[in-house]
Amino acid sequence: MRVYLDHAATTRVFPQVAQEVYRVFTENFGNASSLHSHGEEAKQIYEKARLTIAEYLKVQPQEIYFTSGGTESDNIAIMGFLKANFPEGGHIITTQIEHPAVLEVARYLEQRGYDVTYLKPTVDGYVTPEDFKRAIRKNTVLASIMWVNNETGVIQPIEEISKISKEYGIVLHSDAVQAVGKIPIDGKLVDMLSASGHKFYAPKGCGFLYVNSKLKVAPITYGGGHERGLRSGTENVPGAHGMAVALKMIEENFNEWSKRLEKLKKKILESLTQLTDYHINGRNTVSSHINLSFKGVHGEALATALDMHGVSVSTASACSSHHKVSKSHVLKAMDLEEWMIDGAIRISVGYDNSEEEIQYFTEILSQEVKRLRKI
Amino acid sequence: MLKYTELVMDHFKNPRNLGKIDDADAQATEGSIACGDMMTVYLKVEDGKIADIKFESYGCAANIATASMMTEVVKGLSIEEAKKLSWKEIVERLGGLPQIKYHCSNLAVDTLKKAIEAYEGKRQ
Repeated sequence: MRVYLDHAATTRVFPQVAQEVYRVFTENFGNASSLHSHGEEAKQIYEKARLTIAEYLKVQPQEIYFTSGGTESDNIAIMGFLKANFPEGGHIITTQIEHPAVLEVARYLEQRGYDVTYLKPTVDGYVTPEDFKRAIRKNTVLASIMWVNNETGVIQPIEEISKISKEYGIVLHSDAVQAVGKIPIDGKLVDMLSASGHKFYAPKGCGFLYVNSKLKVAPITYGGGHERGLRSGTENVPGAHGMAVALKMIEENFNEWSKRLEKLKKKILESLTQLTDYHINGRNTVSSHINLSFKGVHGEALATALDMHGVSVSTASACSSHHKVSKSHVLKAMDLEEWMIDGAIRISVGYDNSEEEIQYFTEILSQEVKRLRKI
Repeated sequence: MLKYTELVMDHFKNPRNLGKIDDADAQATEGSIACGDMMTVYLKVEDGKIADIKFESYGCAANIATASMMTEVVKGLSIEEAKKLSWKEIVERLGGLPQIKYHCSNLAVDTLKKAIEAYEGKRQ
């Protein structure tokens, strides 16, 4: 049996989405910027997708910009906002647990003279509104706080941070790549929001950025002026359509699907009780994620052992060499014990996993943990 | 996931000479603080030869497989022969390792050599 439990890395495109995307590829292939009927047809699909996504986020369609994915959305949001409004510098607040698509941008900005505060999470994996408030300075111009952490699945207190940001007039961006499609999102809580299609059962290579219409954001790449000048490049109509169809399906089935996901997660957690000395990394998590460590078992060894049985999970800490070792920056920031960091595996279930698959996984997991502990 | 040879996976699945030797003549524990890997090697020496060797390890699949292969190679060798073992030989015997995992074979050989040093230290 092959079981895919790495939905936080990427998802399988829903078959219905794939069919719809295929139809657009082959039938509505026109360039959405062309004036003829082929172009017009594509344009209509594209704009309808924008509307669906806007409705999903409870924002206006003209506030949605299509991009190539999460990384590009994060880059446009942060760099584009600063370029348009604070090109001379300023203070930015972000977190130590961001995805590299935000962290690396922040580091680059530091080199360019901006000041950056990286909020430290609690041992449970979330940043606190109190710490956020304390970090605010007179010259704080932007905050970028992820909605859900990709490694732990911990939901960040965006609602409270949103209130504080509004009170102090700080523009708030959120990398919601791991949140869209998993939990209900109110886009109005933030000023900018990034999302990526392949994390919610749509194709890879497409994503979107929500930008509050009151905000001024400058492009960071130049070309034909697509997406109202913010993101040039021929419209990815199949991608946009795929994202809209996937989100619509998730929205329509959300109650049933999220309950099922909860049930699968519960089943995994219950199976752990027959094992000892393990730790769940992070609290208040989305129902797809379980990040956990077994004492005496290296995460990479466990992931390899599971892979041997056809089960795909991911590991954040891998020993790649004596000197350059990659350990999860997220788990390290949470100040977890060494064995929790070295032992961590991330299980991320999806709407397409069956109970049989989870049953098989729990059996293999228990068997391999016991075996590896003897080595 | 890293691509391992069938032999590496076999040693990972069924490690040879796994466990402790209670009346070992020498033992050594080595680790890489950076990557979190640990290994303990137990030696039983008779007439200048490695009569028995066992290991325990905490690490990735490559760590376990290289330790297992190392024990298989040196069992029965004389102490002098065992001292000459190089990490390259372990890698070759396993049919190769991803380059970023070469250091695991290093740890296996280092731990063996530390155990031999401990044995020789005792005898002096």
